[in-house]
Amino acid sequence: MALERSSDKQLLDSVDSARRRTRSVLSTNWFPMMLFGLLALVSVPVYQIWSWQAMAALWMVGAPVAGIATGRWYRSRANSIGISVNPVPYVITALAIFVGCIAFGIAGRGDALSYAGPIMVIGLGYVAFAVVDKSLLDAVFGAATAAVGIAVLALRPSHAYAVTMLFFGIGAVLLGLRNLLQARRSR
Amino acid sequence: MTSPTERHPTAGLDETVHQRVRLGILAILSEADKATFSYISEALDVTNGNLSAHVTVLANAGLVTVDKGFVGNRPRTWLRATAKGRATFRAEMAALSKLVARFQGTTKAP
Repeated sequence: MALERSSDKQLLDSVDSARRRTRSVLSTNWFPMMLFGLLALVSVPVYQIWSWQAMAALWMVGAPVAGIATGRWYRSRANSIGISVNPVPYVITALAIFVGCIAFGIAGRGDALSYAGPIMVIGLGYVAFAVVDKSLLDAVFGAATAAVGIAVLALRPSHAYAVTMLFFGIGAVLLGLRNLLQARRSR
Repeated sequence: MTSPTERHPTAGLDETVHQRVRLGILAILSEADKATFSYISEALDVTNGNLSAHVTVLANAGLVTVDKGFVGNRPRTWLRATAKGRATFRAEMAALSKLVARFQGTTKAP
């Protein structure tokens, strides 16, 4: 009887281990993290040097292109390693972020809400991605990004756009690098 | 001790999935949308023949589906857990956890 129960424990442990390994393989997200992080960083000088319209145009073109590139990356990765996540929650969240950013951008009319609103939406979106990926670190980053949006709305600093995008961009690139290194190590 | 009205945790175990490889297959497929036959055989460290036998059992019970396709010129067999498969896996894990917790409780008792 005791031997049987001990083998049940081993069975439970081996299943937990298979789940953890699978979760770790599936939570590889360095490509979209770094891509959107870099897009955010590039948008800062575009806004500072050119104009608000140039920055908006960059996002309107860049975000869908980056989204499509991310979809292709996930598909190619799934085919090469042989395992794939359900894309539906990611696509719905990405679309919600895109629509939310446009809505706040328009509603804000160039005021602080134009910058704070989208960064809050992006932050909450990243929390949603993190919940799907079951990643605590990514969830903390998403929540911190949303909190920056709230702080910008309350404090209205002079370089609101640069502050929000530098925070998000640097954070996303660093998390992407960390994820890339983890993925390389677990190969 | 189990009261006469309380079901023993072993009653919750499912004969079809209470096996290392079959539970491993469902564990992987419960985290993923789908996985290839070769990914699962490598992850669980089983031969293709062995895995194939277990997949057949799960497919016959309606717990997984098997789709054969191609990626370029290379054939690929994708496995996916059905809703019934996910529910069965969750129930099995709950029963197994309960059983192990009960066992640990009895062994730790002075």
